[in-house]
Amino acid sequence: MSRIEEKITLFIDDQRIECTPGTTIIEAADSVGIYIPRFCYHEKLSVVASCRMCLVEVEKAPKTLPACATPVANDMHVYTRSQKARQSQKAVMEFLLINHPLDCPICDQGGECELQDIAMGYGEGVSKFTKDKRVVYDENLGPLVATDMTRCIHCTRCVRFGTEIAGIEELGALKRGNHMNIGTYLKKGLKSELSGNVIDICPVGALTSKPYRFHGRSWGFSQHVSVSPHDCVGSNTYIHSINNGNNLDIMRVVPRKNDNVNETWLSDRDRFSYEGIQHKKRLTRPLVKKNGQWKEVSWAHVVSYIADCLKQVTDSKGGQKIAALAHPSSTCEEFYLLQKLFRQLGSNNLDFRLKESDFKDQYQINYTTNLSGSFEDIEQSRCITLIGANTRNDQPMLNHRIRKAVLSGADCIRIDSHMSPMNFKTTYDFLTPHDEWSSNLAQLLHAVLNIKKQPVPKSIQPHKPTDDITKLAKTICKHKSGYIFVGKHVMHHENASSMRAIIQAIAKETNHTITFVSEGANTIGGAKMGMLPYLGETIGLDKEAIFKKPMSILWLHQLDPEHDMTHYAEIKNKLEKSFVISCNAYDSDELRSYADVIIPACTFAEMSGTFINLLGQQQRFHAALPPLGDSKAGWKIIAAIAQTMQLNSFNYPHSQAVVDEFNGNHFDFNYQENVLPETIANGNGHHSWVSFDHPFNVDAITRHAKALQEVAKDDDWTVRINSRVAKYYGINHDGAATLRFEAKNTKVFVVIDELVADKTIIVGKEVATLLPKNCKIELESNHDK
Amino acid sequence: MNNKREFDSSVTKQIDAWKKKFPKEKPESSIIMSLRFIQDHYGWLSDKHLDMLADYLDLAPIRVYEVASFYSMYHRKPVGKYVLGICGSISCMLRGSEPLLHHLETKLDIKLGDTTKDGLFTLKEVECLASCTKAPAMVVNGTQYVEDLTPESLDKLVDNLRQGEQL
Amino acid sequence: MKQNLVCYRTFEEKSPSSFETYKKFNGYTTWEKLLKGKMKPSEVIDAIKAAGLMGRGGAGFPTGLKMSFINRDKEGQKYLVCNSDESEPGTSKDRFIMQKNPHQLIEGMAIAAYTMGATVGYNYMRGEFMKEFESCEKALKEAKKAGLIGKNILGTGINFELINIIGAGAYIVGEETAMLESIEGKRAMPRFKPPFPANYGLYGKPTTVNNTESLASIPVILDKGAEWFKKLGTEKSGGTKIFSVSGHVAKPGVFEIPMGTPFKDLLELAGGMLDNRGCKAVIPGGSSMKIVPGKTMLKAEMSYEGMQSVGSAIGSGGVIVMDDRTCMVEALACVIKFYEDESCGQCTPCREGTNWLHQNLRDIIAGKGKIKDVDLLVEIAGKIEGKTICAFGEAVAWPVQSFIEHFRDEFEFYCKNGYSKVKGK
Ligand SMILES: Cc1cc2nc3c(=O)[nH]c(=O)nc-3n(C[C@H](O)[C@H](O)[C@H](O)COP(=O)(O)O)c2cc1C
Ligand code: SF4
Ligand code: FES
Repeated sequence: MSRIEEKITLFIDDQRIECTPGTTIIEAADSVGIYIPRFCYHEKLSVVASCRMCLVEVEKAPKTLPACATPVANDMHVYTRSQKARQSQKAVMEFLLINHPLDCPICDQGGECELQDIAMGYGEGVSKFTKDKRVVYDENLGPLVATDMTRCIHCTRCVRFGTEIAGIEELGALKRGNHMNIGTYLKKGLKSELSGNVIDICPVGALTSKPYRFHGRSWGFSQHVSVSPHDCVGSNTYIHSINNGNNLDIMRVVPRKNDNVNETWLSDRDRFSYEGIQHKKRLTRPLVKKNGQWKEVSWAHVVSYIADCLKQVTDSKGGQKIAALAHPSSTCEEFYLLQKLFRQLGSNNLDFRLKESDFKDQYQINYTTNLSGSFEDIEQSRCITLIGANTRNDQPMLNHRIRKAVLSGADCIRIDSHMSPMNFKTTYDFLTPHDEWSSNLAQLLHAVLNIKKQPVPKSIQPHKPTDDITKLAKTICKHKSGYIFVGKHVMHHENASSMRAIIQAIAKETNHTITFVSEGANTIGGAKMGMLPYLGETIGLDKEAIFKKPMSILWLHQLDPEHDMTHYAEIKNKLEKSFVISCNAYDSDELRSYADVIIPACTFAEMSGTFINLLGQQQRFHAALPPLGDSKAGWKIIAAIAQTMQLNSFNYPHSQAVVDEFNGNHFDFNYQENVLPETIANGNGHHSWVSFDHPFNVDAITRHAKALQEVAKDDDWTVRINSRVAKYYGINHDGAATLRFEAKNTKVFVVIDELVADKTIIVGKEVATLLPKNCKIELESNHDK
Repeated sequence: MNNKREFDSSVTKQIDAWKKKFPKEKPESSIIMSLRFIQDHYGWLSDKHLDMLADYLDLAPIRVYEVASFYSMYHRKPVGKYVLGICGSISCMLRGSEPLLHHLETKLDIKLGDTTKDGLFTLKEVECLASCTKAPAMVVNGTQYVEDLTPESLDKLVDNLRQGEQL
Repeated sequence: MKQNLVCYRTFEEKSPSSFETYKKFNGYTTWEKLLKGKMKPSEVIDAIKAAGLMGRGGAGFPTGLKMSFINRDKEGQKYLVCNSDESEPGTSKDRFIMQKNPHQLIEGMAIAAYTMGATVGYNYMRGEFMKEFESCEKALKEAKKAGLIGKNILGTGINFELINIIGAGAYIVGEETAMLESIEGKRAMPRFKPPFPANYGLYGKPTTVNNTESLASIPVILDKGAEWFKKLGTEKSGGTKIFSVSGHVAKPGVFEIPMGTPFKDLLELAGGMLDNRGCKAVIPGGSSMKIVPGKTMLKAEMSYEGMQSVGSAIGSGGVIVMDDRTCMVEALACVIKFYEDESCGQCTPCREGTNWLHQNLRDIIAGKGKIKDVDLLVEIAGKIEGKTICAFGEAVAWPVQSFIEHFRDEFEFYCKNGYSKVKGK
């Protein structure tokens, strides 16, 4: 249906403007590039009209009016630079500077301070104010955001950001009048995953970046288009770097506006991870292990050495004895060339599903399905079901859209083994013990089929829905459409295949769209580029199978098995027995203990590349820095090896040529109809452990980012259980404990958390690396002795 | 683990009754009066009380801090048994509130804003009490008006209270 | 002179606040007429318009016109709010309505609410008004018991829930949109208008805010007729008005008198000047209004137009009288200190400007003033005026401008000599 939009005509500084009713003067002015000074106004926040900087003259109005809050009217004449307007603006500017320290030379905001800019254009120069300035006490807001509250001009953007966007009400306006100040009151640090955005929205230097503090001045920066490599949203960014003599240093990462992706926001992970890029643990030289000794070698040497190894093995044993695993945040170029190399060598042993272990249904689930439409569409949804998906932790900008939907009335249902607090109110939270996922999902399907008056398949029949589950099913069925987001707590589960099959059946029955919110930046890219074992002429080994027997050659691409894979305790032994070529950016003792060849690879910041996000958009980015030391782009390394081996068509002048090739070359996914499992097990009633990664540990870059790690490190040795599980172990309060498994033990810190499901033990990253699959755990408090 | 403190049931009863004055989905509307119930019961509002109220009304603590720091009748520090608030606004000032204030400072041997050592009196200056036609005026413990003040009537009041008489 | 004809009409009775007393004054008959359909909402609005009732809270906006802004037939919740914040320095009138004639306020609120289609009304009293709160609660209980307030009133299917609430100390709550924020449990920060409360008010619903005196006048107007009411006052200012006379008068007090009464007569009612001193100056409508020299006031009449003609306004009816011993510099400093203490802090000019003004005045009184500070005071006031969200900006600016306009010599003297011209060294 087309509606003829009513239009209003007005004149700003005699320029004729057409806009829709309800537009404010500032929006109309912005739309034609007329700048009206402002502080409290921010296009993404509610309008408070309190700073009064945007006062303009409106014909017939006795007073000057705030452009940010005054709606346009037909035939309105607005003057933004008339004498009357300027008088008002100057007055406000003078008032603002009364209590503002004039310390621009030492302020981090210097050069990009809205107050400084506007003061130049609208101020009086010297203030008549000769009194004492307000004294304001500073607050420590944690490792990410630095404060200097004497500079605050009380615009309340940060407060509104907290309430309206982050959904975390932490900052507020305290006291009143001239004593008003902005703070958290009880000196609590900021706990939002989006907290860094206050740095961008604060118009002055009151809230600045702690890692960036005193490192640079914006006027010396060069700006590079980039894309965040940590999640499947692919937030658009700029990397700002500076030339420090010989080196380009990254100074900071800021959001690049894209209303369809991250709007003007950035998650803390995406903003502060850059600290990991120039980490001292970065690999800068190719290394080869000879007789147990590591030796630095030249590129020419390492390339021909690898080529020789590959040739020897494939010549003697065929392609079956070689395999490649890549991190899901690898670029399309890397995925594509890696599988191309291995397939030409006769191997289909390719995978990026590093933490998954159940692939029985791999022909039934489409790893390349992306969300159709845009992220904005999610805001319109009426029902969103999160199954094992902690979007707030793992995809903060996707979560932001879900939050908007919920704020406008959508139902949100969560099913998970740990409900970490959300920044919006969910309709139902259903906690399932780690061991009872399949059965609970089967009950949900059962309830849905009952509601829809459909026959219940035999395998589902024994799983009679509880009242809670029926309630949940009713809510989902109430909505004719909706989103089901399936997250990593399902994907990583030992029974993932049955769980996915059931969820797909639920989605089909309810007509809700199912989306696997994938890990890393480029899971969809990995699938589309063919980095899966079943896309060749024969079917190769999946990640689980690869670790069944030692490989003659195992290529690890941008991944650290200790943290990027599960059950390291078990795979370590296989790694040691294989010939491991690690194409990696970071050095570590652990890496040197199992690897045989180490090739220094660039991070995303030092090369151009492509990620495909959850919407299926190919997002290109460019190098912001030259490669560190002798490191090289992953795709170039692979191409060089292939060329040395004289394989077919690996001659790419630049990465765009790789993109052009993969865009013309689609893999054939012959997906099969979803089949429900024949039996669905009930839980075995035992306690089982599971590792839910901290969002700041998702890849090597974040694991090397200093400020992020200050936040994340508390979780490393933590074990979370609810009070019933605690009681079972005789623990009655948070504190140090000993965790025993298979006759070994380790010190941990127990947190009693009622948001953990029964019979479930959630362990931190370091604990997880020690524990064998399904091992039995004992916990004992260290306090009560 | 469970170190959550709870309000006295007489306080929660008052809060629950007051909540009914507002729409169910607007618990924040009752913050302002709840803080007074708490203050009336415990004498003043500690940080802990603010957190407890936030918890009780299921609101972000900052929303409670914001309100508690905005309105002037809340005591954010311990106060005496009787808080004497002398009005310093124009109508009372014209009728001599300033000398009266000094009179009280001498009589109680404290400065404005302080509390007597015996914990009986806290002296405050407040803004216009709408007692302008009975100036100078004062309010004791927030809501009890004492008007047409003179040095003599103040002396008598203080002496009586010191002897344990009711207001 | 006739006194106490409207809001204070029960005051002479033995128990003025009781239900029975109010009934004697034809109490609740208009409300019942309305309930029984013998009077239509549109007639109420017409009568109030014809009576010339103007808002008694300070701004003087025509009450009938404001009522007509609400579309009573539009679906959804609507609210009426009675502004009993009474915090403007010099003003002490609404509290007596609540103490001694609460039923008339209840009936006024019921009528106004029904006329606008509001089923819930809040009476918001300032934090100190516990006595008034209790008196209103008691009256409300009686009215409910009589079946006049609540659900399905007198079996008509009409609902009106009246809720008394009380604040916690903040002058700015008196500003109508700040009051709405405060009812919502927030800091009392005035909202930018538009949208006006009639469209987006309490909890985002259409809302009307009226002063206590305005609402309590309504039952009398409807009972005795618009014409009767109007004729009490002048052509342009209908009815009576309550004035609280404070400061240097012999018998300060509260007087409900016809609009248009000469100031001279009002002063006489208040016992004349204290100690028979000369009348130096008067602030006629609460401390936010402009000060007027005594001799001008003595020739003026107390009405909207009368006060306008002497360059001030009737405001809230808080008449502050100053005799010839008053130091105008100190008086202004006292007024400005109030505004500095009470600024909510959101608008830059008000937050920063009130503090600046007060610091300047303090310095002058401390003997640290310079002659150019007098002009600076006027300049700062001019930079605040008209640049804030609510009229608080004017409330600060007007006293500064008018005090200096009329008594500049005292200010300059203080700056030059470091002590008060009136009080000496
Ligand atoms: C700073 C400020 C303080 C105010 N204080 C009061 C007050 O204490 N009582 C009141 O009735 N109106 C007060 N008002 C006026 C109200 O905003 C509003 O105009 C009035 O309540 C409307 O009622 P009326 O039309 O019946 O006068 C104040 C206005 C401002 C700007
Ligand atoms: S800290 Fe910055 S964003 Fe927050 S109110 Fe102050 S100036 Fe505005
Ligand atoms: S930008 Fe308009 S008032 Fe602040």
